[in-house]
Amino acid sequence: MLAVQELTTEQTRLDLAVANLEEWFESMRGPEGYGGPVAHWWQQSLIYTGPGLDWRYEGIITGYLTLWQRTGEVRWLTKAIRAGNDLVAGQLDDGHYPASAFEINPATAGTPHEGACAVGLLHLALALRAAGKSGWQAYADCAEKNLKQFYIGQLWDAELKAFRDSPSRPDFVPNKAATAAEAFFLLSEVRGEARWAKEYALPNLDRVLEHQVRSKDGRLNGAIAQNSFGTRKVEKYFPIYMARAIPALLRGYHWTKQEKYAQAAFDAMSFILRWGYPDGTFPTVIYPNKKVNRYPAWIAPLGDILRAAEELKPLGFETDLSATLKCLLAGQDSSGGIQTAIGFAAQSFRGKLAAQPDVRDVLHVAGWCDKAFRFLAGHVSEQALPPAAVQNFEALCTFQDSPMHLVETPREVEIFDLERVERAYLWRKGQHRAEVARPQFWLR
Amino acid sequence: MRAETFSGLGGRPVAELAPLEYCYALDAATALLTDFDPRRIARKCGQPELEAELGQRLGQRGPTDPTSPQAGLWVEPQHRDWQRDLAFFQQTLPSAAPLLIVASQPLARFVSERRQWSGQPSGVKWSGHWRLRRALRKAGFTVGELHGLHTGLSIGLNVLAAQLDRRGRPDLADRMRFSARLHYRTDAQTAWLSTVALLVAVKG
Repeated sequence: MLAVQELTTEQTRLDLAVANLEEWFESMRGPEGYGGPVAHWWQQSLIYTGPGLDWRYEGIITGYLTLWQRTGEVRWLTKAIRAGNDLVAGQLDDGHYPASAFEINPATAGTPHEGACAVGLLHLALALRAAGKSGWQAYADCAEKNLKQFYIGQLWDAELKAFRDSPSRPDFVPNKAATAAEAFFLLSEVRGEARWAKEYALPNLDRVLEHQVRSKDGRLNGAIAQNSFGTRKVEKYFPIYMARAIPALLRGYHWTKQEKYAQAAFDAMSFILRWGYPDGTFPTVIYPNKKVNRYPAWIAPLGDILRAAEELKPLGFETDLSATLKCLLAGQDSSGGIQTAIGFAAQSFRGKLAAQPDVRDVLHVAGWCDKAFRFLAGHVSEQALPPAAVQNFEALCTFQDSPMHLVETPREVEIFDLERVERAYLWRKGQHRAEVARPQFWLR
Repeated sequence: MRAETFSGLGGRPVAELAPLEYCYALDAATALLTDFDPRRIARKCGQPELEAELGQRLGQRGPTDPTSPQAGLWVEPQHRDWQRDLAFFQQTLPSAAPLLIVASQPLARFVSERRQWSGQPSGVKWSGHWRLRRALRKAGFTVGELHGLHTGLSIGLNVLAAQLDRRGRPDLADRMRFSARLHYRTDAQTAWLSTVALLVAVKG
């Protein structure tokens, strides 16, 4: 009985967490879509804060669809459609989306972002069609236009039979290519045409497999190299990116029944788990010399690792990721947003894990929170979500050695520099740019 | 603040972006000009390769009311016509209006992506910035903050990172690169020792 009560309490907490996260997403919407600053390993986008038609739409659309399917509440379908409409309305004549480059926004032609948008749109088209609802074609057409004009038209390398990461250079990024593969599998499903999977998704996945480490040294076995330039592989292994390749590999397995894809997915997840920490986090990057850079240790992006592990379960992959789930949920703040990471300040040489978080740790980013949303939406109870109960969020933090005070409300994100005694950053939600950004916030 | 839409942003593909220091400088300029309606910011861009970057930040069109601008943004003054452009800003800007100048500095010669660019930016000559600052003062501007972007220190740290990569320590190399990123901008006296400068002047 106690166990059932505990379970119920846990379920109630999870339902509320999703309700609060969804409420936070609502606060991040402007007239053209979901905006906000971005913190990332590669760069930041703190000045451009307008809508980003990038990979955030993959998790937002699929998350809302999952909520609709689990709870039967039509309001979630309406929001999935609204997100799909953002992409359809925003699509440029050449098939790209504006501001589709996440941390490099507002640039367009971002990868894997435009492929991830296609994944979201095609899931939406499939869900609407399966429910006998009209209008699904517009989402399928939008995705197809981008996949044909950008991925096939500009990125497909016919010689390598894989998608490049750039139209002008023979570089290949496995996780990004995997996202594109997922989109092409889904396009086959929507159109009832196997050629998209056969001609593009599968050869592309084979190239991903060429980047996987096959080593008798157990610690690195299964790792997938981050990228390659021509024949030169960059042997850095990022768990969150590897996790994003797993669903595509599993689609490859389900499509062909060839075990090599399932095995690759198993090995990739085994690698990820091997490097996990007891607190449920993972290193950001592992190197061939077996050193790691642990920080920033991602929080909201853990949703993608949890999802990958879950997709492996039906194939007999058993693991306990309860610490990771706990860490993800513990990262949710009173605004409903989930923290991006722990330890951004420790990313560089001078960095040790400080007593207070870096601004970027506690910044809630739509393109990370969508990963948590997508995973958590699959675990809500099959009844209406409870009403959200969000509040303003405040945190003492630091940025480039200066003590800061961050306040997020449903209307704005304000950061006050406690040393200079001045407002250092202000983003009014819905605006395309930060209204105040002192020089330290110019950081890219 | 004005309501913005995607239509003003254009579509600048990731693969065609300008080198980071120019994007950084233009973003910084945008942040400093946030109080002004972009339609009333007088602009001059001497480098065609940076026009699209400018448009992506302030909208594709120039000022719609060029007769009464409130601020100025001058990108990459060129040797051939910088005096003419300065005269334009001198005549156009009202008293107390800020003029932001994004200009290459001598170290920009080593930025490989810009070697194909046309023109002769006045700032890449060692005497270029000194001349410009003198001319600004003569034209009635007060020269204020100077920010150097892609500093000598960050260049040095990136060189060290490459060495660490070659020595089989990519883990330390990555940390070095992030340290370099934290030192990418400076407003110290060594700002001249960076590839690009952002100069803030105010019309007297």
